[in-house]
Amino acid sequence: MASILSNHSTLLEAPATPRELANILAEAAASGNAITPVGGGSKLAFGNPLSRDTIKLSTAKLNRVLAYEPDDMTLSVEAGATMASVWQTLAERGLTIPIDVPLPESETIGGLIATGLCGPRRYGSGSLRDALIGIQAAYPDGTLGNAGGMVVKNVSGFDLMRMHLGALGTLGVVVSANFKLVPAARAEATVLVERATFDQLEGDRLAIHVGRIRPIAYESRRTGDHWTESIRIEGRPATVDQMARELADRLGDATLLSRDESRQFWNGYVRTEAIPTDPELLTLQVRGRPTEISATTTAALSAFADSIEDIRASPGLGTVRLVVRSGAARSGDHINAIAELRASGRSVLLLSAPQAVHAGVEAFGTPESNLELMRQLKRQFDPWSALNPGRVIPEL
Amino acid sequence: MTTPLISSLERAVGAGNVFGGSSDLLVYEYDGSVDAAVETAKPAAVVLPRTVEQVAEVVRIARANSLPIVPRGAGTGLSGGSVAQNGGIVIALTRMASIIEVDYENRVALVEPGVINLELSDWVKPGGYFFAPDPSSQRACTIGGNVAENSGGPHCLKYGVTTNHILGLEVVDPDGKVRWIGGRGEEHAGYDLTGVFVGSEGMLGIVTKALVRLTPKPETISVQLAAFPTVESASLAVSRIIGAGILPAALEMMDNLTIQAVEPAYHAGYPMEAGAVLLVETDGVTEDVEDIAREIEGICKDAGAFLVRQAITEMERDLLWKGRKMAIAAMGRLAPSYYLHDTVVPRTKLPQTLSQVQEISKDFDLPIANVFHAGDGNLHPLMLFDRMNKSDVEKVVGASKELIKYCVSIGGALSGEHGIGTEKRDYMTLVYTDEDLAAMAGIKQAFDPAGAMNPEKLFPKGYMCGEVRAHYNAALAQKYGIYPL
Repeated sequence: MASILSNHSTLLEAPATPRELANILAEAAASGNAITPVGGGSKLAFGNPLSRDTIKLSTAKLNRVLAYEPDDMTLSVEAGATMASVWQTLAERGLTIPIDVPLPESETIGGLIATGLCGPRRYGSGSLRDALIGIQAAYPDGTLGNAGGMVVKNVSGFDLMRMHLGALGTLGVVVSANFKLVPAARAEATVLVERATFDQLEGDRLAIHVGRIRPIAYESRRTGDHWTESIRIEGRPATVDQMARELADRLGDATLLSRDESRQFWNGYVRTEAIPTDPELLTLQVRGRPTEISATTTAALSAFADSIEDIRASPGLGTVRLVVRSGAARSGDHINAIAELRASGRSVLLLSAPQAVHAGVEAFGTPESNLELMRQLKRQFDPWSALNPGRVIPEL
Repeated sequence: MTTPLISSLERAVGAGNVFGGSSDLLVYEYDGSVDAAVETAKPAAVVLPRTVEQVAEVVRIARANSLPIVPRGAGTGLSGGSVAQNGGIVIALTRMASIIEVDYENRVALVEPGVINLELSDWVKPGGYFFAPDPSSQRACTIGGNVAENSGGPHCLKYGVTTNHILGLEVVDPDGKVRWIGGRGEEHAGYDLTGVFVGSEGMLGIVTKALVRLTPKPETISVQLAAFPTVESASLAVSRIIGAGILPAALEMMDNLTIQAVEPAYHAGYPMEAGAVLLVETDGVTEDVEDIAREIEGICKDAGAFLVRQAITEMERDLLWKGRKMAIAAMGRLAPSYYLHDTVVPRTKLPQTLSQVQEISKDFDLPIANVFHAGDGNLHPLMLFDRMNKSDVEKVVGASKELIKYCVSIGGALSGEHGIGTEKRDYMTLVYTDEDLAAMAGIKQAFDPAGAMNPEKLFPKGYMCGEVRAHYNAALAQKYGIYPL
């Protein structure tokens, strides 16, 4: 194994067992090397730049379903399994993990946990955080630790599941995870509404947010010179179209998408949330209170003006997502814009950014008081900074 | 008697907010657990601060005196979590009980830790909202305690447990420093510290404010009572309801012994001759709820139910629920004491687990009633005994061991919603390896390296978090010949 690490390769042979993976981590830590765990590889741009070179460690061979109990509605699966393969396994019995995944054919369970990113469904059906009931992770001290279990409710010990969720593989490498499953919706429909300006969305937001019908997703996206609102409803075959019509009537001038069209629409919509690979693109998520969504959107629009290639809002969540063209000439402006948005009390997350932007602004905007605790966690679990150094906490 | 410690605490929080006398401390030796399972212990002092600054000051005094710190809410915990095992200072948060802000439009509320769970739901009810976690003790237990234990309740089948409803926390750390973790931004400002903190049993710090999610009330709620001749037929109905792709808001079962205790006390309308009753709550838009209720009625009747009754109005629903929520209190009609267990098994293993509970009941000659969250596989066997009778207590201890071992052997968990505390700490090794515990110890070491917060909980007796972490580092040094720290 020592030879694997000493030949200066940047990609290791994928380990076939969790224990093998843990041994590689320990070997790397002890020899002063650093590792970047890689699943599908589509979200490696997320976070701060690595503070030193790392060796890529693929989880591709850890892709087995360890236990699937459809009657208990639980699943244990290795980290390298793709979301598409997991969904396929679950679909036979009408079950699912209800999350949005832009590239399900390549995105893996481990990558989804490590990044903890959410899509439009976050509004009405929660996130991966809510579905995670157990975890096994490998640590750079060579240990493999389990937490949680295969039951849907469990308070036996500390919550390591949530510690790893969104930690970008900086505290350990997730090797398998357990999920609670839910019945897939039997039917769905979508209401589409076009509005000339963003201001008109505010009235719609109230109508959608407080009604008796509880949508699963509610998005507004700038399409050409206007905004398109899309509201996804899931339910029972007998009533879901009626619910969609009721909502459409309330909003006025709406288009209805029935079951298949609706599913197709959202697959396409979520796919456009994949983190872009173009190194000049800056992808941001800006978040404020849901009631302030108009102000947050307006602030984002004015901050990035004509550099914006895509802008969409999740009014129920208070989130605005932007893809911004950020060449060398604009990076200074964009750094200032991010700082100003943060200073106004909004959180700004960098999903991808050109090097020049990274150089001027931190990716998460973590408050210093939290950084202190985060550093203590990092020092406990990875005192060698052997896992994705710098990715979450710039200096560690 | 006024000791220097009591004096300094009184200076920090005012004389009326410190208890140091023997008789005052008596009620703080316990929580809601039975002494058959959890030892009582006397703290050096109990402090009831009113502000976060006072909490921080008390923490600093405790640390200066090398005393352990034990946070406490209403004391309704069922695993010994708030009992001061090693003495020290109990910080009871019941006088920090303000609902600071309710923001319906953004669906959040900011509350102090001493706010009672049901008070919060009642407070936001006129706005059309509720706080979803609803433990059976919700009339007394506090939000701070819910955070510490990651409490559940009947409705977590659909709505999730406490951790799914906490967006951020103001916490006082073991050095007396105050900070916010999480917040309205909700996800992603680095590590999910809120997620780590919820369910940490008061071992990482003290919650002084919680930003909680409010859930909008559904348009219609239906509660169905289904009575079955046997536990097996009721279990079959549970499997079929879930198998049909229905996710009820709550799915609860009570066995005949429980019905015998509950029905004469509350007249909830449970048939006395039933082997088991199910309470099935569904909610959503009116048309859907009606449709689902019809489907559930059919499933129950097919599985052998001899009675299915639906309650729609709030009063009817409350009556059906009253029997369930007060079931444990009604046990006093059957025996002087009870030991309420909390284990979780995979849902499909419920029937065999219940048979095993009957076996254990016979083997130990100990009546056991069953009330549980059937939809989650979360069992609450109630062992009925007389705590003044020594042989009874021995039976309870023996039967509990058997029960826990059995549940773990079929893939269950030690606790679904009561926590580990002192009650189950020595069972942790049944479920977790040394390596698993070492990872958990890493969290403890990160937040509380001195081990000042709520010692002697969760980890097995004799387990030292700091030493364990050092042990693994040393092993690594030996294995690879390098130890970089």
